Amino acid sequence: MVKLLSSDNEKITVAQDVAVRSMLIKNMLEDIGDAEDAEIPLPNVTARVLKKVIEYCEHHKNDPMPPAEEDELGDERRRSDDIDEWDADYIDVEQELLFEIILAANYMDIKPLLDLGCKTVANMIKGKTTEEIRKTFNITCDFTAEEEEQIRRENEWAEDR
Amino acid sequence: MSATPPPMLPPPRTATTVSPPPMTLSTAMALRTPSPGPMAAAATTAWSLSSRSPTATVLARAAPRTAGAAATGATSASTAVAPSVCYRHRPDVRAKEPRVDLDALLQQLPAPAQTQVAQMWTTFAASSSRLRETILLGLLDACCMPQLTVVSRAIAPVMKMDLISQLPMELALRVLQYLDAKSLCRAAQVSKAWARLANDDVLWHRMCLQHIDKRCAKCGWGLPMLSRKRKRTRCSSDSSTTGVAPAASSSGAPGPSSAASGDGKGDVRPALTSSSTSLSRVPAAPTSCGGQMPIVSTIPVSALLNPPSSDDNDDSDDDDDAMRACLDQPPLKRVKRSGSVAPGSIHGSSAAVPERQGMTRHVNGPTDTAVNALHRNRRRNWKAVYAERLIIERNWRRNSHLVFPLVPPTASLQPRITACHLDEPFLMTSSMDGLVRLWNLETRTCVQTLAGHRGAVTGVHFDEANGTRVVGRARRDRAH
Repeated sequence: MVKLLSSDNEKITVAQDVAVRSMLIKNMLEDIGDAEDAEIPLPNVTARVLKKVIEYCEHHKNDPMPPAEEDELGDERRRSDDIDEWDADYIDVEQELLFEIILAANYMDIKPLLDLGCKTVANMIKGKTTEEIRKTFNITCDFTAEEEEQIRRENEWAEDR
Repeated sequence: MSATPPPMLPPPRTATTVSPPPMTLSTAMALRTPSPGPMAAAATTAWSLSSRSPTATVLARAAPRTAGAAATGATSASTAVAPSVCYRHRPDVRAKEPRVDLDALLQQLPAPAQTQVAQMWTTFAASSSRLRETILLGLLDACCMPQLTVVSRAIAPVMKMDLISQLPMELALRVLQYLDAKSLCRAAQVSKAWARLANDDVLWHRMCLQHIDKRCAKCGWGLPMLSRKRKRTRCSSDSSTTGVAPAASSSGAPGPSSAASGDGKGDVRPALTSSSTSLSRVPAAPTSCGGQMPIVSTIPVSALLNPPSSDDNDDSDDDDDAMRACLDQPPLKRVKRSGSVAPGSIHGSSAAVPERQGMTRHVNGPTDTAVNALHRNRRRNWKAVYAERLIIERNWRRNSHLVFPLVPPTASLQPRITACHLDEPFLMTSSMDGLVRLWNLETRTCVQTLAGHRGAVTGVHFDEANGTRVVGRARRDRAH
């Protein structure tokens, strides 16, 4: 079992095979070796988010480990429509929590979860008009009318296939 | 225990979000009150009605530092206090958000109620995050359905956040890389922050790698790989502004954006490009001559008489090379040519210029403008490249093209054209009347007529290898 300490000082105990889905924790565990009662501090993750992240790790603990280093994404990994049902249900959260999950997954170095979060945000953008995107994310347009028109013209080429 | 440093620390931008400093009562107040001070002073300040006034905003912007200082000072005093800073409580973010006009609402209440409500708000604002949650749950519990509707209505819009702008840049780009070109272009129109991200060269470089000269595994579409003629575009139009072709100077160098916009221009391109690909096969590229000086621009007659069954290998690979070379490099470092010109021969070539001048004519100004143009050319952003290819591909697919006549200014009857070569926006033609003409296709005018041949000219070729511009060829091995 691994003891994690969230940024708000909550202690959360998880099974080793769950915890090592996070490369950050995995590396830390390797560094401290056999120190049984050591607590791993995660100063960037609150308990609320940590629990949610652990939920993901629990479900995916038997997945094959993703390759350690691959920065150049292959074509197939760039798809965003390959989210399975459990994942889709898991990530169906408020935008704020989604935001926190992405940050936590990045910090804890859990690639599949980071990808899941990024794909989900991408899917919120995809296929929407500019105005719909603004609505989705509550964004006010900070372009002047002329700027907006110019930018619209600059991007017109992409509009019809 | 020894904790290894985290591998991917988010940049400072979100530092307050992800690693909130231990908050104390005083720091919580400091974020809201105009006079961030010691706890006592802050606590006596009631919910400040002026907290949204301009001065308060200024103070609020300066607050992170104050809060940080207060936090470090007070850490020892406070044990384990839950962090209550979320991204929404970052003063810089808050300041931008138009929220409910609480002041006006408060003004409508009778005076005693005003104080009461203000006090409640103050208490809430000063509470830790755990306390706040408890208070909120208690309040909700006391609500009846209509009031819950009010809550629900008020919550819906504020539950949305600008995820892309709030995320650290590398994560925002990670999100955007899942988008297709159309969505990216729409995203680029959302706001200034989005535009910066969605126009990022890294994204469009990937997009180009994914589509150009191949079928994208994701969308099934591909885009054409174009010959290095495309790259010359800038070169020629830039040097044309140096004075040779006054008409051309008005058109200016097509910038990355204008390449993407001008509708009419986009229509002209495919027809021109396709015609040139079929016609420019005639002269062999000089680089294929090999030998010690591969760039010497004279071409053996044999090559002219028996045009090699060009498979366009020599001519078409420039962008290709750049594309492949860029695989391992960050964008913007486009490799000029990795083809058959050895590094050493580039220097050798400049020495060879005078000796070659007898046979070639420099239509344009000094070569350094070409170098400059090339330099600028290398900076052409990948979005422009993608846009250009997409427009061309679309025009090819839809067979949209433009037909227009080119009328020579002097000739009484249309001379018979024997050959032509395209170097946008210039088209060079040779004709039976012994003249070589240089046309500007944007203005559709003849910008220069080169005379000197006695017989018909049977071949013309822009020679890019060395900054030389034009090689004309007559019958019987008369290079011009």
